[in-house]
Amino acid sequence: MFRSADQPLIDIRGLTVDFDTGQRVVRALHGVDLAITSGESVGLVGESGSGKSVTWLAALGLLGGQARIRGEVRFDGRNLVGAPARDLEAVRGARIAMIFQDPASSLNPVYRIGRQLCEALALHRGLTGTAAQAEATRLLDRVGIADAQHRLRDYPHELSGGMNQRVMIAMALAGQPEILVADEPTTALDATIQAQILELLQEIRRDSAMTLVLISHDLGVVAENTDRVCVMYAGRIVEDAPIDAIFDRPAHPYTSGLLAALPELEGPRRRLVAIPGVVPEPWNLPRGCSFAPRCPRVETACEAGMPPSFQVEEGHRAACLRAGSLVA
Amino acid sequence: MSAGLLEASDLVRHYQVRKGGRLFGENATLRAVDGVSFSLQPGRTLGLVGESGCGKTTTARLVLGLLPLTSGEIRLEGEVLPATQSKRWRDLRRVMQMVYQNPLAALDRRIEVGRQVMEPLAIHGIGKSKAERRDRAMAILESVGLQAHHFIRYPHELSGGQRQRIVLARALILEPRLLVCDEPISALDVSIQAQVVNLLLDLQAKMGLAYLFISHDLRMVRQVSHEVAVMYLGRIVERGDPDRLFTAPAHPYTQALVSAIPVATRTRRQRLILKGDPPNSVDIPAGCAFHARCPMAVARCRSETPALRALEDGRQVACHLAAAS
Amino acid sequence: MIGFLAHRLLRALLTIFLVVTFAFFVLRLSGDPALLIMSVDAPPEAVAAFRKAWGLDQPIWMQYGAFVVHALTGELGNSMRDGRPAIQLVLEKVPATLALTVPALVLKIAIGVPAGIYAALRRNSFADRLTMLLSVAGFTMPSFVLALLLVLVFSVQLGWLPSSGIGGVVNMILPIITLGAAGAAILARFTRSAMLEVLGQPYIRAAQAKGLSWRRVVTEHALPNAAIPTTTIIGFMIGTLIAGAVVVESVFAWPGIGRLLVVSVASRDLAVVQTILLLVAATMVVSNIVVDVVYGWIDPRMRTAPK
Repeated sequence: MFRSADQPLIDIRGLTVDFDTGQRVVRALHGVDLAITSGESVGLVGESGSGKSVTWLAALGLLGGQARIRGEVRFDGRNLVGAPARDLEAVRGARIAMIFQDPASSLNPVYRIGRQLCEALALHRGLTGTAAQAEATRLLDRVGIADAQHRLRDYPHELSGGMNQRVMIAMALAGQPEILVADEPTTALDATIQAQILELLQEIRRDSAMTLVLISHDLGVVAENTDRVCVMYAGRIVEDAPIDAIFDRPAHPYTSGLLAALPELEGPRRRLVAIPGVVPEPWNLPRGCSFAPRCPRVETACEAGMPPSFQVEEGHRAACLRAGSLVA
Repeated sequence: MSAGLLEASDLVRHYQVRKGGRLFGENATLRAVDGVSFSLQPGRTLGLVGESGCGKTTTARLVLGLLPLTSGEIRLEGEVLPATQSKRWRDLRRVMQMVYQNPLAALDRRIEVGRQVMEPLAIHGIGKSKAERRDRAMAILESVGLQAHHFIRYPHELSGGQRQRIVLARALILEPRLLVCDEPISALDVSIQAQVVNLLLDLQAKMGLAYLFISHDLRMVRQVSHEVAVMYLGRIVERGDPDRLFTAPAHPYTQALVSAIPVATRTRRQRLILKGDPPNSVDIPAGCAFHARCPMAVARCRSETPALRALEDGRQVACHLAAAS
Repeated sequence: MIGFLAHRLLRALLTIFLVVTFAFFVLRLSGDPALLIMSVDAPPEAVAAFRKAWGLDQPIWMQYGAFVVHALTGELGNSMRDGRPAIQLVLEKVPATLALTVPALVLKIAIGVPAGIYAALRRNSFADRLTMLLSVAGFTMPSFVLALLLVLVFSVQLGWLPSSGIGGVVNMILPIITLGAAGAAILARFTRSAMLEVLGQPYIRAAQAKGLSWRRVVTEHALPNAAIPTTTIIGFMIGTLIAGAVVVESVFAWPGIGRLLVVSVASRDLAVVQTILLLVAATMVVSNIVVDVVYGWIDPRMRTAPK
């Protein structure tokens, strides 16, 4: 299918998610807009409950029966929201692959690694038998697992967390997807193992020109591994900008607050500037801007309604009434 | 070194485990902590860093006497730490308190948090009346940044950061000299972590507390520590001033650990990526425990275990090659 | 594996030994067989002769020693009531009991497992709530109550099925349903919670994210994992095949092990009771070992420790 250079590969518009818990309906996502072009690497940063994972689980229809999803996820000329199960299955793994936070429990404990890899190869590439075995070995080798042929016979519990995440990445590569969504892929791992896995993701991206969506609570992880960042707060994208712009001229006070709250490893030690208050609960959001109660630059207009997204500069938008003046 | 608040000499904690399966596996020794020494002066902070399984939490539990030592000695204000659960040990618990990673698990969810803060006073028989203990609890709540109305709340009604403040208040109401903090901010959201770290620093300045601060977050450790010790497989491999240690790490493991930290700036450094996973504490390699993953290892590293020794700048390193570099 | 089996076998033998020893003393200390078997007005000389003939005049420790020595050589004694070897008497009744309990087990699995899976997949639906309601009713109702209800409806009111006795397949239907109902209820509830637990695991979402259809996620990824805990319960049920029908056999006058046990206990037919208990303990213990082996076979985590 023809797609012009600047036409997005995936275009999320007004994505809203409500969870019906039986007692009440809680809105987890409040109209997320996010367009990603082919080959981009985009980071989603936010605290727990900010909606960064929910956005992608909703886009792929993985939220289960309690979620009510509205809005659009345009991918390949179709809207994935409300698409039939068969269409979604054809997208999952084959076009958009996803890896998760806890690699050890993301693999089925009763099957060998090889079987789980071959399952993906049969599903997406029609490979079976020795052809599938050979390709599975190649994939494990590709993700840096030594002695790949023997590791195929291992069970997930016999491998370390880092090794299991490599297996998950190999499984994601099996479908040769256009987009890889990595949801906190290194949060459960130790620092030196995290570095290994992030290095591997970078290497794969360089080789395959795959589009990468990296979800993380760690601004550092996103800064080092993506070109563009979306900062999320209380179910909304509050700032969306190239990495450099985020650090040089953050336009949303939440983004500036996050940067000031992070200690540095080098240079003089300074007192951290904490963001006062707490993240509001999703069922108890303030009127207007969700960040207003914690914002140092709050004004009366902020409490009137949720500020729309303003274009700060080319490729840089922020959902703050004062976004323009902050940059200037 | 002069007698400080806390002197830990050659702490060892071993476990007997069965290797390779359930019932008839051969016995093996898990060396959780294998010869750790440090001292801590009043009002100072020692940061303990390392990856999971390196023995930092076990060290904390040994220091508090929550686990018996296999060998070694702990002195608190010059006095050898008495046996766990003895009368004297319980008295000494006033001097040393602990803050855990998960505040919700550390609190009783059925009791008002204010009463939980008061409880240690009653246990140690401090304060003449209930009213006096209540006043003390109110005062300590205020000093950890909470308000009077939080007194009657239950743990689940508070946010993660507020719960950790309650845990802090409960630990501080006995006016301890030493606070052992095991990953005190890891379970908190990024925007809340800075609040708690600032509070810890303020409390130290005000009350002259000493902290044993355990964390895997090197940036936070640098932020709070006067001295940092890096642990690998039950031993300290490098110890020294945090600024020097993190800007110019001497041990190859510290170098890898420091370079593994993703930095929120665009200046990308040359990264030292280690191969493989750390071995587990049952199969610690002979010689230097790190040699199998070390990019610089030489023959000597495989046979001879390096001891901690001082470098010119006062830092201590357990590496055969450190002085040369 | 060999070491594991040897260890389990040793423990099994110890368990059986304890059960039989316990039974030996309880039976002898709770009533005098001679008085129960002989008629009440029997002359004292006859009672004494009976005691002597069966060794009941010996001190209880001597009796126990003799029992153990005999049992070890495979000699379990004769029935006091009809003089035949107890083991022969007991084994004769085994087929009749299995004729009820085996079909009942099949019924439990055939109804309980699918119902549990269905309820889990349709969580909180009307079907789920109905299944769970029936399940609670099924395992809270004592089996004799259910048996009497079934007899009332199908024998007395409708006259479709006989209320007791032996004969053809028709005589077995009501006892089998009675036995199966409670087990099916327990199994349904257990399978449901095992399935719900598994469906909440991250690997289920990961399997979906891989592109597998929901049907394949359930059959290939959820079911094998939910089978692990469910197998334990089924294994336990296999252990009750011999002894699980005492009440039902009594209610329906079915000539199986259960009824033999009731009669033998009442008359202190020592050798028979001991033989039955030995058999019951042995099946329980063997089924437990089988469960452990099957467990290791379906759950690879049980086979090896992490490297």
